[in-house]
Amino acid sequence: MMPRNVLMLGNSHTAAPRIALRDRPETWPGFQPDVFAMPGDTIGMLEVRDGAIHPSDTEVRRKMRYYNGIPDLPLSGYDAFVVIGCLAFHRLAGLQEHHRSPDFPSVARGERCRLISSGLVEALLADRIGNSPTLRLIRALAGLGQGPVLFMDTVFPSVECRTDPQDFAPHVAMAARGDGGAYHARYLRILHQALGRDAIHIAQPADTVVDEVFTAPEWMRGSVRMQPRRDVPHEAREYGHANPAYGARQLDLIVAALAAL
Amino acid sequence: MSHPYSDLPANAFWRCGVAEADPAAPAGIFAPKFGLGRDAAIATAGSCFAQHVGRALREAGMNVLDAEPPGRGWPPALVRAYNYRVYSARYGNIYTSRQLVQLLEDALEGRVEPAAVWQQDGRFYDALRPTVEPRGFASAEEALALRCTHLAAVRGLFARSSHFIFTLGLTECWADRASGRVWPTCPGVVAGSFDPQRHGFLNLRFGEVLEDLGRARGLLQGLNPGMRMILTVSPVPLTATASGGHVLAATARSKAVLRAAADEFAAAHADVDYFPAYEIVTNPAARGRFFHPDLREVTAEGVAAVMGAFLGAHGLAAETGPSRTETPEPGTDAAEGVVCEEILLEAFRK
Repeated sequence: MMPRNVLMLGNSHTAAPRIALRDRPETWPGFQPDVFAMPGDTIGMLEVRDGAIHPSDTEVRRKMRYYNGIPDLPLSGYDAFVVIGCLAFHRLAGLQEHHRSPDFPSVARGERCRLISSGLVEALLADRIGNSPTLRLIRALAGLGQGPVLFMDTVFPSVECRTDPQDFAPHVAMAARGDGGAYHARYLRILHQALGRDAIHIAQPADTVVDEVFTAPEWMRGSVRMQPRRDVPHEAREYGHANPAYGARQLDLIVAALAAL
Repeated sequence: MSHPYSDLPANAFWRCGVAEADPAAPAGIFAPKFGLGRDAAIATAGSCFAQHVGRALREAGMNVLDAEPPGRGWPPALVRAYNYRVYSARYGNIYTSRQLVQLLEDALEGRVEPAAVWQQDGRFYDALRPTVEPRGFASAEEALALRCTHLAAVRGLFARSSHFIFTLGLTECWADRASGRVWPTCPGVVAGSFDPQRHGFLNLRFGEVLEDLGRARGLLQGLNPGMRMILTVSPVPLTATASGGHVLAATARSKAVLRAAADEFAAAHADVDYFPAYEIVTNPAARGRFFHPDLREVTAEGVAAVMGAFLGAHGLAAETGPSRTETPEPGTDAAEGVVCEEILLEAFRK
């Protein structure tokens, strides 16, 4: 049976589906989730205890009030959770910036790097994923036993960042070497292991992906900040967030996944 | 009446030098043969105890080389589990003088032998450093590729080291009867399988250790003519002996051979020194307090006594300010947590 009381929660990447739902609610009839959004660097400072999400200190409490208008978030009424964003594949690209294993396509071709074992690559990924605030949050929500947890990790950066990499430089370089697809496949395998039965992972729609690890610009241009009271667009050189059109695609997948439960 | 003993310093007498002296600060126990300045580029290797040496030197602000550094931001637990920052390269524990010679020869010749890969439960282990990858390698090819990289790093390490501190640990080892190659662990303990037809027990004798040290020095001098060696003997007893005798007697035999060979070798070469770590930890005045209750692992106090004597003798008080290495968690024993595959033998205890 389709869950009725759904909580969508996450970081700035909740903005795209939130605005899509706000602007075209008729597209997903009956789907009226609550949305709880916090800055990415505070996700690890949220505690799930006594059936509610609590901020761990006064500064996080201030942000919770600012972004959500509440001092804490009781969870008892929800029968499904959708975690959006938080864990980003592109943030793991730095792990392989200098150290790569023989099974990387670039290494197999003979490109130089600091060679490490594939076991260590996997262990590093497993550590970063398994110990991330996102996975801790997912496990805590699953531990409530109130309903399923869905998880859509962070969208790939826009393909436009290839010519303006900024913080995406390790990601762009990885793709340029031809390592992106294999590294992402490895990431997904380890992510699914880490999620286990705690959450269902919803992958980025294939038709939005360009060159294995980027998002086509039409799904990224026009993205909006997490600002709760008005729509503040990201600057043009912001390549990490998706726009409401992509948010609508996310909602399609979320509703379909919930209906399939 | 004058005689040779009349003007000796207090530390030349057992009562003043040992029985009534503070074992944590044994005055005058080490007079370095040559200097070790803060500009020294130090390589460390040896048996488990050598890990304390490298760590303490880094914490004292010394320039301990790392030819295979971990990546930025790697979690400390994985860094340690995969044998990064344990020694100056990821060679794992080098228990015997024979193992050292073999590593240097392999590094200089770029010699990688497919036969030195052991299998266990579908994973592949570099038999010459079987615990550097806790889960083994994905394939024999990967193990060999990583060994090639490692040997290149070892060559680079010794080419730029001004001082090499080597801690002799054991005389007992296992060797391939045909090739003579030795392993840090007996085949079958970490991985591989033991074959009595192929694998033979070797208990190095005084002359063999001395000869090995000479070969090692020759190889190192060939690579880096100015390099100086500092030898120590690990105070850590054998976990088990395959000699057929009692482990206590086997330990005494092993340490005596190593101690004598180190002394003889240092006496013969101006560029080789001996530092008495073994003596400081086993000092009867400590009444065993430098050992953990297992009477094998050395306590943090014991390590501090050793390194205090070493650094003090070289005029190298520990640097104030942030250490170049991670600080142990409060309440933990800095001397704990050494990576020691020899301890795996304990699992076979009857």
